[in-house]
Amino acid sequence: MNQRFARAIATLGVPLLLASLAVDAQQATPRAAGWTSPKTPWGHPDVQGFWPSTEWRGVPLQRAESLGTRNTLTEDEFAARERQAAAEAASDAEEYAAPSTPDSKPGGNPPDYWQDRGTPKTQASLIVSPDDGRLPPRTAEAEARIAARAQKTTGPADSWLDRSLYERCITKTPLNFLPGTYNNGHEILQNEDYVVIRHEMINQARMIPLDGRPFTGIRTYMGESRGHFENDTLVVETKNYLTNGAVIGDTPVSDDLKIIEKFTRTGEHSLKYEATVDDPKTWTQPWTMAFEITEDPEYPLYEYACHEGNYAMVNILKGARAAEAAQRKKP
Amino acid sequence: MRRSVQLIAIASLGLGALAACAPAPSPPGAALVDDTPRAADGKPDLSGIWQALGTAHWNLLDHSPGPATLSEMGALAAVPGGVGVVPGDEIPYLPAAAEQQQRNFENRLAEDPEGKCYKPGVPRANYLPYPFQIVQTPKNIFISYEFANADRLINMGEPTEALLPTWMGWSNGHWDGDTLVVDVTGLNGLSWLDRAGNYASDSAHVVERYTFIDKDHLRYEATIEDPSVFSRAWTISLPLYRRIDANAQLVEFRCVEFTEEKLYGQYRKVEAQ
Repeated sequence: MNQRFARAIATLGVPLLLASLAVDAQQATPRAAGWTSPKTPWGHPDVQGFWPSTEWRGVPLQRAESLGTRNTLTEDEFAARERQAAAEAASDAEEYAAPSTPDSKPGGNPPDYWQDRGTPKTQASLIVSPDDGRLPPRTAEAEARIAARAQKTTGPADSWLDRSLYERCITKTPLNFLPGTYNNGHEILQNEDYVVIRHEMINQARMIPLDGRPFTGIRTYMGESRGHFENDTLVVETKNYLTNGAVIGDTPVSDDLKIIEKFTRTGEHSLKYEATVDDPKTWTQPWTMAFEITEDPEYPLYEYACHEGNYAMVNILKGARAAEAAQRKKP
Repeated sequence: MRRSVQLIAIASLGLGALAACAPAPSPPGAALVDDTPRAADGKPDLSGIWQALGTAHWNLLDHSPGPATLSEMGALAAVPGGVGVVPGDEIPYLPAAAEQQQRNFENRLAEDPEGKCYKPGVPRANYLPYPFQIVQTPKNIFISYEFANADRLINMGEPTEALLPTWMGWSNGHWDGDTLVVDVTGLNGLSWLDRAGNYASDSAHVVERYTFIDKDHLRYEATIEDPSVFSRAWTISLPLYRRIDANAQLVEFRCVEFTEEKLYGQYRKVEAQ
């Protein structure tokens, strides 16, 4: 199932990335007149609620180069994005998926609620810094990391170690709010001492102390988060990631990765989210993605028992062994 | 402690609303001085990092010491003896269920869901040998378990029904005086209750009670009703200890990668001879 999705995304995704180029997050988001940022009973900015990043699924991380430093689509560009969304919705509703290559067969289409498609936006790219909305150049060290990965001598499914951390239900990415194919739900809870950020994908919760305690030397896949408030903004710094092949987009990150997230209420049901990715061993400069999330109280988080239900892993490995056995039988 | 001070400070300001939330009489055995941490609404504040001590995770009932299931582990994974946490020391299995528990015990090395890094279910999650953290907000109560990234949100509003069965079930909470009562349904019945193969099914109904003994200790009780497995409801009762270590924190235990050899090893490519 995973692989079929991956194929579908690979064929759909690239032209989509190029063709679909959403609120200009670089501009200060206007606040409603007379509205003040809500506070908890103990006086902290209140950023609690269900904040799915689903609506941003259709906006690419990187901007089309042709748009330069402009991060707001024209009416025509936005209309193209709306047509694209309509085409995707129609395609998702089909019972059978189109063949991914001219000589492959059509397959059963997953139900149309499976994939998060998002809402057409006028923001061109999720990246707002650098100004061109593009990932900064990778360092030589990062390119060497990628080259080493490409040179691995094992096959695609010799063992589970040949599959991604995501397929193994270990971690999807350190950048949890980056919209993905499905399960883009996030919930924030607060008390006086902690902020909890729950991520639907791979069922994880970050327990973020607000007491200013130092970082430890412990590395984990979720990383270690520390939080504080700056005026009406919750600032969360996360580092000490256990990388082990963890990726942001398709780039494997380094042990030096640090992510600074900022959460600011902009209205009764809106939250501006910003994440600055600082990994000097991977990108030549920090970069920032930003978007405004609409609260969705109808999007509670359900348990995502990814590993418990990972039949795909067994099937991928068994399938590869069966293919090898069939190959050996050929004269 | 800090909240207790606040409570006194606020009460002395004459905010009468709090008087309505005055602490209920202490349960028997409670400390003479009520040092229960309290939230702004006057309810006990369960926030903190908690952990069970003892051997309930090995076996809920009285048990003698025993060998490790893998002899190579020697004393490293041998089972310490322990006094059980079930009053009356009996789990009232129906005959067929008692046989199933025996099979579970015999196959525990291969079959115990804990060994596969599967979410532990309720109540097992609360007495695994790993800490868990409660964050109590004015609206809801969230529990994050160190083991297997399991968690659950306890709905403190109008009770809602489980939409589908899950490993950690569906939790609706309310206050009975100073006791947090959590009603858990929607369990998928795939988790066990301990490493001895004790279990319940997907028809289990668990009612948990959390009561402060003193500021750093909770009395935890879980009453399990499951007519397809047990002849009557029965109860687990054990203390939970606050982790008072300076800078105590949950350390993500993403155990998946420690189970892949066990779960998938047989499907690895072996070079043809």
